[in-house]
Amino acid sequence: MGVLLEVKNISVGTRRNGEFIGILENVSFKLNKGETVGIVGESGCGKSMTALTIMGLLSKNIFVESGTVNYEDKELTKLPTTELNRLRGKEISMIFQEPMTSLNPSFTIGNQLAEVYKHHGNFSAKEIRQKSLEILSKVKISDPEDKLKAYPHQLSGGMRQRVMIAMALACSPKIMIADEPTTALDVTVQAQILDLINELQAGFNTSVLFITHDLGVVAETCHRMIVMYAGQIIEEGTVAEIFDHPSHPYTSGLMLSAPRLGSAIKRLKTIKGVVPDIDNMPTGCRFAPRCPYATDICFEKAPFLEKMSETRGVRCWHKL
Amino acid sequence: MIKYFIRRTLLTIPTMFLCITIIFFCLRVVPGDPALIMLGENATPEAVEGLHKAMGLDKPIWEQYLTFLNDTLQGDFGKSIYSEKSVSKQLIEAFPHTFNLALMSIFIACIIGIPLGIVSARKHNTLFDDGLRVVSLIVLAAPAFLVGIFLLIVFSVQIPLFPSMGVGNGFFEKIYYLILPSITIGTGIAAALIRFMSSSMIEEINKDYIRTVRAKGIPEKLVFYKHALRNSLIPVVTVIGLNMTGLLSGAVIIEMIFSRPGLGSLALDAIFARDFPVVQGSLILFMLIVIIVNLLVDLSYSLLNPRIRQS
Amino acid sequence: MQTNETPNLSTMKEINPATNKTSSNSFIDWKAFRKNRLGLVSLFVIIFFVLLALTAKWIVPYDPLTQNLLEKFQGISKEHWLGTDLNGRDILSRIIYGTRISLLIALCTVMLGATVGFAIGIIAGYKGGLLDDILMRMMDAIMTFPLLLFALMLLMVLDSGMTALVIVISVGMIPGSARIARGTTLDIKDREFVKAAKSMGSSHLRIVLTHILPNIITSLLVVATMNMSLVIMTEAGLSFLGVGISPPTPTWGNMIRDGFTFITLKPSLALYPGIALTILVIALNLLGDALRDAVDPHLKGQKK
Repeated sequence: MGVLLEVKNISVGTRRNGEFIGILENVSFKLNKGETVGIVGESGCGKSMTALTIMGLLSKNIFVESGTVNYEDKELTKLPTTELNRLRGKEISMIFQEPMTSLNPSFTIGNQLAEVYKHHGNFSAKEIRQKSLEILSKVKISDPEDKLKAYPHQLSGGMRQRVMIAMALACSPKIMIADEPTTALDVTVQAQILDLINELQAGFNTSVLFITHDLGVVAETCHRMIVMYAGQIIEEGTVAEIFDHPSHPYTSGLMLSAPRLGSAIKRLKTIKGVVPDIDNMPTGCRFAPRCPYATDICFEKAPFLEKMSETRGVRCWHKL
Repeated sequence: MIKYFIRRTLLTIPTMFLCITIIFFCLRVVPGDPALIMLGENATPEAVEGLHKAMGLDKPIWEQYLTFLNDTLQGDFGKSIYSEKSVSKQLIEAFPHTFNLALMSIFIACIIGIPLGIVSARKHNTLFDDGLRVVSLIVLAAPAFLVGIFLLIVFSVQIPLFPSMGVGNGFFEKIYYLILPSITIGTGIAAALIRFMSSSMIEEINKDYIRTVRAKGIPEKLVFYKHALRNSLIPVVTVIGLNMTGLLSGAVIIEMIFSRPGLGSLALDAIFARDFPVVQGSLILFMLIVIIVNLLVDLSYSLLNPRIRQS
Repeated sequence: MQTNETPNLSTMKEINPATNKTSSNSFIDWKAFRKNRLGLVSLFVIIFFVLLALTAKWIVPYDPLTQNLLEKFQGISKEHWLGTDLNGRDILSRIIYGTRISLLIALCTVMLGATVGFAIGIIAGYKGGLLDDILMRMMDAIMTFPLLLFALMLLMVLDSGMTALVIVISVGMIPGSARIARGTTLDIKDREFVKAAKSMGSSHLRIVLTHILPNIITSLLVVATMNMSLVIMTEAGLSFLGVGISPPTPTWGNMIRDGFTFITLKPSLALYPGIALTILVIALNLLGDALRDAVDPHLKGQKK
């Protein structure tokens, strides 16, 4: 398996009164061909920010302070927008959390889908229509002919998310980033969309970066997973490894707080406290204030991401 | 969609009815005998009596109202007291001049206001944007009649580029005569449009769907001019419509300054001459225009916004 | 920071934002207002005009009505800073006196229009139903009248004068204020704290006075400031057309009208009062914007 995308020591943040305030700190990971990697964490831990950094979609006041995002022979963070636009939607695409607001309300589905083909190839209007119909049936949308003429508000949330997936897969991209694609949907629809992503991922041989706060989703779809906390990667490994034996107290806390089928535990455990404020990061381990195992060293010295094997890494002084 | 159009059109009827009623009662119930006002304080009782009869003022008020309503519905606004000309005829003669002025003013407002609004949004928080804001603020605050007067002096008296009065004949001459007055009104509306267009655009560009478009690799120009523009134009249409009432008010003064024989001049002359039927007729026509424009704005709003169009 | 969840505000809804004891008593964020430089400058400009109006009697160099035909159409000089008009009256003195009329009319009109409009809006919003429909339809109808023509017509039948002018222009202010008051009322009516007050047996009047009115007062301030510029322009327009305050009383509109007659001879006659008018209107618009922006975000969120 060759490396397709490599995020290397990325630090992202904003500037307030001339002072740099970090949101992502030294985030590094690789995405291999045909692989699905999950990024897990609470909201505000920087997982969406990581995705937006790769796509070059950070808002104006947020910027990449250091580090690189390497895709094939290109460094994405330094690429001008025009060059980036040749990759976005064609080789790297993204689907978003909110299907309700992620489509332009004023244009038909057909128009918004056709746009992708128009800008990433030389197709005639007829070919574009043909391709649009094909991709819509691939994401299992019934009556694709009618749907092309429909406006976003006429479709349900699940349907819109299917359209989003269709747009993302239109050009058979090498990488697809899915940012909480099922969070805003009903449970039954969630399952359908997940199955669809799994199926298409295999069919298109696309590498998927799956961002979610739902461990169940990770277990179901991903090969490897990355756990983030307060802008840092705190644990990484294959899904089997981590689910089998979480090494970071935070990961283990997450697992205990997730409901599991057939579990004997009646009450779910919760992790006490909240994610620290970006203005006010603890000097030592960022999880220390909430960690049941924290000792003096945890509050004084920040732990490093220790490589335990080819796939495994943990950022903790007291690995479980 | 058709249902919405019909319902919206029918909704204007009560408003029209209400407006006509208000106009009627304002002119009848307010203190002062119209006949006495028209004839002057020194009129003989016989003359007043005669005019009362001629205007139907001797009948009870509800009967007057019904007659008035009936006549109005048939488009009969009576005759001018002085010229004896039919009011409807006078209105029809004056209408095109005001219509042309309004159309040209809106055209000028749009070709100045919308592009500058977009530029201001693209260059948000730059020196250019600030400068534009200051200019539009001043234009917005300067009363139209003052702007009109000075345009008249500079471009018609000092530098005789444009005519100072009249409306001209033939298409091109008419436009030539329209330039100064419509610039006067148009720039005022343009100033409002710039600010509105700009804020509307900035609001759209920060929405979720723009991120989707960018993620698709669509060039930044299209992100602005296709996706954000379409959605930010929707509220702007409403603003143009809302300006219509102000535009007509402005037209009254501008027509006077540039001596254009439009509806405004007609109404103004009638008001000063105390020519009640003409005042009444032109007020009703003005009101009708505003209601119809509001209707058109609403309908075009629904055409632009698929969410309303489809339901 | 990019967050996916919107903060949970449900706990804040329990508190009446206007009577919330934890925030200051006014609902305008004065701290934010003080940071708005344009707003501050315009406030000072307006205070300057108000002072001019209040002290006009003592500070004017000449009586604004005294004619001196020997000195007519003078240019700028040490004696007459802005020159003299057709009748040899001092222009500066007339402009200062004009400030008085403009501000007085603007203040009275806006207060009258806003009070009536807010009363209508609160009743319509609070009662709802048919009454709401009828009142708001009427507001729509008034809105379709071109204010200037309507005022002209009424001033023709009424005797022109200050009172008539104020009443007539204030009619034009009613629909806008009514709409805002209705919107706010509708919004607050269904909030938890109003329901709670109702369930505890508060009378309608009490609910309106203690809960709804305080929330609308801020809007009143903003709307009044913004409408003032409109009133000043309308009054000037009416005076310009010759149906406002009758000459020789010095108003800006009258002065521009007088100046129009001699526009080619001496454009400054119309220009100077026009500039004064424009400055005041700009200042009022900017102050209105600044106030609107400084309105407590609690309140801002409500108005949707």
